[in-house]
This record gives sequence, structure tokens and C-alpha cells, in this order.
Amino acid sequence: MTAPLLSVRDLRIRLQTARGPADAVRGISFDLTKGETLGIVGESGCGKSLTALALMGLLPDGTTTAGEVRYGGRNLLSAGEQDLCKLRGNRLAMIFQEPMTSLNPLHRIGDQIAEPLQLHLRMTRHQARNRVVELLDRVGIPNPRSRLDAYPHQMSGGQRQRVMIAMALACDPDILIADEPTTALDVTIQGQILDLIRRLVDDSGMGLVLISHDLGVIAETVDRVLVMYAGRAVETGPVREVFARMAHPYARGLFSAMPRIAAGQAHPRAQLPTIPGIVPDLHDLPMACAFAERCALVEPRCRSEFPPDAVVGPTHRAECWRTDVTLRQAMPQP
Amino acid sequence: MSSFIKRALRHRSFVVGAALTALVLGMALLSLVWTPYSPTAINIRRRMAMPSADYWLGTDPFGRDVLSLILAGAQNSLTVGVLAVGTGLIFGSALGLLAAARRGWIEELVMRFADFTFAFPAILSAIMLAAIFGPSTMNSIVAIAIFNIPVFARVVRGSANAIWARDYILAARSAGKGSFRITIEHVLPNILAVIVVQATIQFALAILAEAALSYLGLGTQPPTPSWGRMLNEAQAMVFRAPFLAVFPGLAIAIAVLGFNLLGDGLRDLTDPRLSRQR
Repeated sequence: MTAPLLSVRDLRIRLQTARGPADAVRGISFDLTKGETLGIVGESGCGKSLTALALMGLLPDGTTTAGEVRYGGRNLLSAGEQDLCKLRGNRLAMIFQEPMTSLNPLHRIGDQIAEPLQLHLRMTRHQARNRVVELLDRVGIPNPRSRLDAYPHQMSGGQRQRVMIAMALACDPDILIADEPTTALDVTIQGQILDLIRRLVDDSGMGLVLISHDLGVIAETVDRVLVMYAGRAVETGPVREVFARMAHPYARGLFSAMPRIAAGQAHPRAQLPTIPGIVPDLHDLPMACAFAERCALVEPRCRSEFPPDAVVGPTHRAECWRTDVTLRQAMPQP
Repeated sequence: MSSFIKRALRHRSFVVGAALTALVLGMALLSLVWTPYSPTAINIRRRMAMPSADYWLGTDPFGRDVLSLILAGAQNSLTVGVLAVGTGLIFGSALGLLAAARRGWIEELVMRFADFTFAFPAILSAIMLAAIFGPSTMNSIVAIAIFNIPVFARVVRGSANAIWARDYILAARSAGKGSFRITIEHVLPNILAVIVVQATIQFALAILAEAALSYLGLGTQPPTPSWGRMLNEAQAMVFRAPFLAVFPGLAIAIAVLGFNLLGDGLRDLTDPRLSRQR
């Protein structure tokens, strides 16, 4: 067992909103070793993007954090802005959801990719330019040398996301955080970008944290998965095990709510199963299971006590009282 | 860029504004090398002459050529405008950018300073400054500059805050850039248009303020030609020689209208939401 690159322990994030404090992330823990890929999945507002921003030290003003994000022997949550600037884009890199707006429209893409190189590796403009050509080639931009002077608006969404990936990879980071990297792209491009990320992670041995609301994307890309609901990790485990034996009712609900067109079927099932109810209010979370109000298997103690971390497999856990029931049920059909 | 020029040429107030601004600028430049007579030459025998072939715009009670005074006065107005707005722009923009980059108590401090300065009536405060430091062109520049600082600080902070919320700023931060670099490389270039538009409009106000101060005798001192002071001197003669008040008044109106129209035009042209509709 190698020491983890990144170790997150009991991460808590509290937002200050107009309606008072909201606990957006309530105790997330995970480890990421070299070359490992972790997927964080959950619906909008479950805290997955905040978790990603916390890893980079980029949380918005007015948020408070607790717990630990340990990287290279120190806690990033308490690191100073200058130290974080040295790590960001250098050892820790991030790709964002919106490639259309994540590049500055006024700067040429070659210059934007060169920035972390000049900033962290003190490369000259000329050295950086050559390295940028290599990077663009690596992320699959054809004729990279001729694209250096292009402006973002001259490129398609998929190409811009490749540029963002090239920028993130510029300094060979230890950890790549990808927050919904394919959500804004159309499906054919999605596959290509995921393949690219997967290949780059395999080649370079960096750790990947992939954030998505799409179980399909997670299933195809990562080794381990963490399912988030209302700021908690409700189920974690190796992706194969989790997809074979989903233990948490929320994870099962998410899985069966996935649309899919089977061969020989003209349409997907007429009606997609949904999870009844709405996400709980983060300002007023119960001192018990946050999913209880929407759960079909709810029993009295779900509403009065926090659920235990039930052991499903060697490294597979689910935070639920009713795993005995869910595990006896057949896997839901997507 | 060529499409920008095409759109600009179709924009009526921009074209009129640019033409009037060019006229004032041309007058000032011309006065540097040539005026029909020396604007300070006194000729008592020709005093209060009506406009004629020799003196196109007539002469004043000292026999000075009004056309020469107006040409040289343009120089004075533009100098005051450039220095006062320039100073206000540099300090105000720096404060606005700082406020947007640092947020928190620094932003609060900068904005309260802006409110504080706005709370003073500008002309009254300028009179106070002139009373303390004595009337001069330099002091009117300082007074006008001080009141330009909060204008730029507010406008720049507002636009800069909007830029700071953009995705590419988050991306730049995730690349490890500090807030100073982000301000210079990402925020400033994106709000330059806003600053230029504001500067044009402030320029018109500065010309007006300089004229007002000089009219009150607190700005430019004789013998330097100034439109505001020409109005002041014409006041006593307004019924005997109305043209003495009309011509400098017209010059002020043209300059102020020109810069205002130019500013409006530039604002329309640089606003991406408006340009897409056209």
C-alpha cells in the first residue's frame, strides 16, 4: 500500500447565504494514490463541485471549512494563498465544466497554455512555445503549431476543452481535478474527451478526481466511485463492485433513473423512474439520514439516528441502515 | 476590426461626436503653431470691434482677437481635461481594481471613500481649494482630478467584480496566478472599453468644470486664454457686444457636446449586447 498522494479527512464546508449558514459538505473522506482515479457523483447541489474547489483552495469568499485536505505533508485548507498559488496549475490542476467560458476571450490560446509554464517552471517564451506545441499534440489538436495564435472563439467546444486539458497538464501535475469536464459537450465529443483524460492519466500516473452527475461517465472512466448526497458520501467503493451491488437506496435510485436505449427498442421505457421528493434544504438538515424523506425503505430509526457506515465489501461502504434489504434485492435495471 | 469601423461609421452620435471632438482638437493643435493674431496682444484702438474680415469673431474690450483667444482657449481646456481626467482615471481605476481583487474591508474602505467624496458638491469644494491654495490652472486640475477619482473607482470596481465572477478567472486562479497578475492580465483588458467610455464622458464634464471655475475667477488666470474667463469678461458687455459671450459659449458647448456624443457612441459600440442586436 503506497502512501496516498492526497488524503481528505472529514472535509466540511459551510456556506454563508442570505438565509444563514448552509452545510454544503458534511464530512467527506477519501484517499487518492498515484495513478488512481476517483469519481464523485451526485445531483446538483450535493456538494461535489465545492469539494473539488476545496481541494484547490478556490472556495468562494465567505465559506468556512473544517477537516483536512492533506497533500505533500501539509493541510491545504490552512495553507496560505501564496503557497496555494505555487501548487495550483503546478502540482494540482483543474479542468472546468464550461470550455466556452473558461478561456479568456482576449488572449491567444498558445499564450494561455504557456502561462503556467512561465509562471511555475520559469520557462522563457520560446521554450514555453515549443512545450505548448507538444502539449497540444498530446491532447489531439491537429496542426498544433498553426493553432498557437488562434483565439478561443475560433475553436469548437471540444477543441477548447482539449486546450483546457493541455493547460492543466502543462506542468505535469500530481493530481488532476476534472469538474464535469464533458457536461457542456455533445455526446460524441464527450467520449473522445473522456478517452483522452483516461489515456493521459494512465500515461502520466497522476491521480484523477472526476466529478460528474452522469453515472455512465463515471462507470467508464474511474476506478473508485464516491456517491454524494446532501454533502455526505452515501456510498463509496471500487466502481465495478458498486455497479454490481449498489447498497444505498439513493445510489440505486440514481442508477435506475438513467435513460438508456436498448438494442431493438424504438424508445426507452415510456416513463423513466424518478426519485420522489426534492433535495433537502441545506439550511435545515436532520440529525439523521438526509435521504429518509425520499426513501422507499425508510423506517423509524432512519429519521432519528445517523445511519452507520455499513460494510458491503472490503473497501465498499454504504451509509445506510437498510443495506440488508437493498443487497437482497436484484440490481435495478437502468 | 473592420466591422467595428463599419458599425462606427453608421452610428450617428458617434460620427457627430467624433467630428466635433476632432474640431476642438484641431483648434487646439492649430493654436500651437498659428493664430490670426497673438491671443495676448492688446490693441486699444481696435477694442470691441464687431466681427469683420480682419477680425472674424471681433475683438474684446482690450482689443484682443476673439478667434485667436478661442483657438488658444481650446488648448487650455484640453490640457486641463487630459491632466485632470488622466489623474482621476489612474488613481480611480487602481482603487477600483484593488477593491475588486481584494474584496472584504479594503473594498468597503475604497467604496466608502468614494461615497465620502461624492457627498461634497464638487464646485463648492473646488472653490474651497482655490481659496486655500490660490486660484490657478494647476489647482483647478487638482480639484477636478480629485472628483474624478471616485467616479472611476466605482465604475471600475463594478465592472471588475463582474469579470472576477467569470469562469476564466477561476481557470486562471486554478493555474496558480496571483490576484495581481489576474488583475493586470485578465481583468484590466476586459474592462478597458468601460474605462475609455467613462473617460470620454468625464472629459466633457472636466471641460465644463474648468470653464465654470475660470468663469468664477478661480481657475486659469490672465493672461492665459480660457473660455470660462472669456465668458466672465463678456458678462459686463453682454448687451453692448453679445458676440463676446456667444463665441466662447459656443466653443464650450461644442466641446462638451462632442465628447458626450463620442462617449455615448463608444458605449453603444463597445457593448457586446447592443452590437449583436444591430
